[in-house]
Amino acid sequence: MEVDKGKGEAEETRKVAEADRDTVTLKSSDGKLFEVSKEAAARLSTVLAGMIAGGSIDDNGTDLKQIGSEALENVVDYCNKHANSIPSAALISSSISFNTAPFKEPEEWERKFVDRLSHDALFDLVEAANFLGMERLLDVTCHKISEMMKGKSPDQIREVFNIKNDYTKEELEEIRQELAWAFYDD
Amino acid sequence: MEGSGGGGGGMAGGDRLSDLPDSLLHCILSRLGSRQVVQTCVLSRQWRHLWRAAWTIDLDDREFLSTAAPADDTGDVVVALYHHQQTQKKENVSDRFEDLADNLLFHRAAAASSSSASPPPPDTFRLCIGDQTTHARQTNQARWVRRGLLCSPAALDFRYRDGGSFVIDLAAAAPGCPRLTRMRLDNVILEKSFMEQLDALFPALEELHLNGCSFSSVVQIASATVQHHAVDRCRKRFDVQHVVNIVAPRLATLRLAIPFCRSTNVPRHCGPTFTGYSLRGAPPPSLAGASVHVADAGRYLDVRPLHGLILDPKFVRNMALLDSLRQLLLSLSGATFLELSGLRSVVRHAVAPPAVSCH
Repeated sequence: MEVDKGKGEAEETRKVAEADRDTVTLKSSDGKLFEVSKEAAARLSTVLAGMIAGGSIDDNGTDLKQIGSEALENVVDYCNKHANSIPSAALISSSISFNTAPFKEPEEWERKFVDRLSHDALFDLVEAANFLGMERLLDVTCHKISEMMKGKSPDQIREVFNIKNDYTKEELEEIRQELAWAFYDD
Repeated sequence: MEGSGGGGGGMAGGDRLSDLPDSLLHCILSRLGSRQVVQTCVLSRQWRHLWRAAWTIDLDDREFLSTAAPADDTGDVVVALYHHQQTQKKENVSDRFEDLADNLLFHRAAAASSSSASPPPPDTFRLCIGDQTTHARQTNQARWVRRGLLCSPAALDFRYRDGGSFVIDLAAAAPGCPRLTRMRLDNVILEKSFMEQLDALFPALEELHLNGCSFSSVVQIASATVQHHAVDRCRKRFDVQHVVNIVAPRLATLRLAIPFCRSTNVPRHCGPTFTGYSLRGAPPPSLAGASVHVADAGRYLDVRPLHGLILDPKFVRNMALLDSLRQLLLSLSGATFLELSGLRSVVRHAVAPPAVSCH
């Protein structure tokens, strides 16, 4: 940022050369290594931010034993994509917006990012995001799961998510009567 | 997909959803309508009581309309009978919606007032109704707003959907809600009595978004605590030429969209005249960004021939708008980011470099 401010491309290559300084190496449960932008990792994950600030980042790969390589790859992919979409001046003005919902709607690229995941990969990613304290990624993944539930009957939801109905017939009947106001069927 | 050698658990029938911790299940449920959330209680034993602590109470009559899809009426049904059925269906929808709203709010408000191990209060109370539900008496809505606020949410989101304004005496309806930090009201008529009590009713309010609302006799929006304020396409209810005063000493961002009429043939939401705004008191030291959008002004200036304007009483009013706009912009000049749009060109000032230092 100090010397050759002239060309954007030169800047890019220099950044890659300085990768050591700008990135953090993470190691999945099965020993695979991934590099992620330090800035994005610190911004998006409270856990990684804490590790970076506390100096507990290992140059040879910080162990994340709870996260498999596929999920970690997605996490890293997400962070790096996010690093490239830092809000521009134009977004600052639109950020004077209001949101009574407790969460923010995912952006288009974030939607696509989770749409391509398989059922299991999606849940692996939710768990990884939860473990790493990545609020934004949790929002995006939870949004996706809610979309898989939206408008479906309990039976359909059980089917999509493989939920085992462990109620007895009598219990179900009792609940339906107690909460009849939510169960009118047309 | 790429080199899927390892892969996570078998797809052989694991229930990944139910395995998630409750906090994540709530995060997921908070995006669903309340009827569906309550219905998750029958999924399995684990889900039985989850709805009682849902983060969001989201009552939207459209959740009922979508399931009340027209049955397979065949062509030989007499038209009159068909219409009769449709009317009944509508009534059913609003009856069932009422039933859900009353019961759910009763449960949550009762839980909120009992001290022993009750679930935490909801984050958001959202009530969204349209024409189908409004014939079901206004007292219903007042009751729902009151009960919803009794649940002590952090956000109130009350929307009346179908264009026209909706009269509700919020001052009478609102019991006051010390926890409330965010409020959005759509198409509501704002009574003076309510606006005067903002501080008393909502002492922690930080975000206030008024959308398509109309001011009856009120002329002041005052909150000692509001930091983010948006007034979007609001209008005066009567043809009064007063300016709406905004008194907000802690204001950080302000967004105004001001409808501006250019002919007598204007859509209703533009109202008969403009509504001007003025920022009262000392400029808020915390003001970071402001955006003022004047709807339609550009076309007015473009389209009308100049000599015609002078005699047009509307033009005189609009000159008053421009004047009030000028005053407003002056009072906003301390903002780090100021955007004015809707006039012929967008004027942008990015005054102090720090916030907009991208290049």
